[in-house]
Amino acid sequence: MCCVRPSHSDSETSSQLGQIISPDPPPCGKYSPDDDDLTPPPRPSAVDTEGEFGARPAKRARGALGGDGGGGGGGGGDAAVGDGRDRISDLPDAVLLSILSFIPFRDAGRTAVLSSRWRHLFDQSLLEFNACQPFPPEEGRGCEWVIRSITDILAARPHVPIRSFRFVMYGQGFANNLADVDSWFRILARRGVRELDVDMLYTVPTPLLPRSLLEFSSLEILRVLSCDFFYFSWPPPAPAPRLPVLRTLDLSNVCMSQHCLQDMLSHCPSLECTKLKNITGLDKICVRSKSLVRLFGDFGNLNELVVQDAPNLEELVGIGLPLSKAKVKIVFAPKLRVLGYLGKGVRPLVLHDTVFDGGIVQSRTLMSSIKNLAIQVPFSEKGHTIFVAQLLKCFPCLETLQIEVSQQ
Amino acid sequence: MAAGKPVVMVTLVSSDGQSFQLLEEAALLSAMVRDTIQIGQGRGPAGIPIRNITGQTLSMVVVYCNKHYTAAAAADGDDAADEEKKVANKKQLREWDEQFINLEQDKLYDILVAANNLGIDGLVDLCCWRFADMMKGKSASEIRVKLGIRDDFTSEQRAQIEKDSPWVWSRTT
Repeated sequence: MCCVRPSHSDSETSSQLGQIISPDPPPCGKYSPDDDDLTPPPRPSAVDTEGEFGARPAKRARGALGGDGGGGGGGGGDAAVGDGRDRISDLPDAVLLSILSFIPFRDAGRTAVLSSRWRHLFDQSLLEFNACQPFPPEEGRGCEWVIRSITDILAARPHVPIRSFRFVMYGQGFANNLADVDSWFRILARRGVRELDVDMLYTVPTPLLPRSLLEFSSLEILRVLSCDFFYFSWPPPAPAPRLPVLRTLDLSNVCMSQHCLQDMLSHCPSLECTKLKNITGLDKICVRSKSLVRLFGDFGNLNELVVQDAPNLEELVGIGLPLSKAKVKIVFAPKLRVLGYLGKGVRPLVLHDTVFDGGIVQSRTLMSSIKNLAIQVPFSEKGHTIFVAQLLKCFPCLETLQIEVSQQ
Repeated sequence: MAAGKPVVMVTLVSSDGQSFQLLEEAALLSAMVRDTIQIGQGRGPAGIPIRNITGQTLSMVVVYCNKHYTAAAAADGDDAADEEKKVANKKQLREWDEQFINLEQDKLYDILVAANNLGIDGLVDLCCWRFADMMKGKSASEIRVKLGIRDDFTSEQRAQIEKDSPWVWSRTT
């Protein structure tokens, strides 16, 4: 605990030296410590799902170095400039683990032989196994080296707990080592890994994922960037996925078939949140999921997006919908509260048996569950006022309307 | 948009009694300061006493907070659309960070310990990165010499380690 008692001690006698003062006057904006430079520009609250998708490294517990009753009294800045004092080993585990996290994982493994203080730190660091190929590539540490290192570490540490596994490669990636990666996934599943993050953005060619991914039964969160899913065409040679506890699915730059994606959505009974970005290989998605609560994506290249049976779906946001020619059809989503982005390009829009095509063609059931709607319209063009007015008739219980000016 | 907000300063008092005044928003980079202010303390003239951290170290921490607060505030004020400028500013800040943390080991320890106690994540990470940089690509014995780590293994332990993970000994493969 770093609790500070405000009164007593030396603070009363403090002299106002006040040396260093920020040069600038305070700005108007609120300071925010997070600098998510990779997140897209602000969207309605629906798209900002930091809880689910904010892929941040685990936060370090604030250490109790030299804190109350910490004993030893070490760690203070006023310690004698100690030659021969092993100061680094006085640092708390969390800080040493943070140091390890900046070292390529196999170099980090070597720290286990430094001293007894360091002996088990690397094993602890495997709780969040960060298997990233060193970048820029180092001499003799190409793809083969990375693959062999990971295989070695998994074999040498059969009982060390691993909670998450992040796998990043460059160059040719694991194209020639599919069998190795396939066996890792089996091992990791047996060891109860909950979170898997595969990032192959800079590999050429885009690698194919091993089939064992579909049987990764302990997985709760899956993130895949730039990979191809096993089977592309239907009928599939692979069985339906067995991912009973998967809650979050986040796919970007992935090539997969319509059936493959739909299988994942409908066969993962715990799936709550799905984010799809730049998915190729399909032009229609038909969503059937009893558990899905949030579905986000660009959906820019779709011809049709159908929500067939989604009793728990509350948020559906497709940022590319207004620019696509997609037909949006919502058949059964009684809890849908948030819907976006609609635009004049999205037509026809089918809501239950209401068909909206600029003017209301047929109107029986209205979307009374929708509270929050986002639309994109070009204000310069005539006729859009009518479009918006007509569109709003489909949503009688709307509380919030987000309007953005579309680019075109 | 501009102006209107009152300037709130806080005072941090080091273990050797030196006071440092800085904008509250800059000081809020520290989780410890955040907690203190949140429970309604630390705003008075007595300031916030920072135990175990000397004035010399605290002055560096204050420089870091001011720099990062100013950079974030400037980025906040900028047009969000100007991606190029954002990237450039970020790069500039990173360069400043690397220069700032290029210190002798003892100072680096002091700052790391201070940042950790104050809960300034960015500064902890920066120090850790610097230490990692010193360790990268070195053999175990080179790291021991560089950082003054005492090898306290018994010969049995060493044999066990060697058996557990033979690859950790090899330097290049």
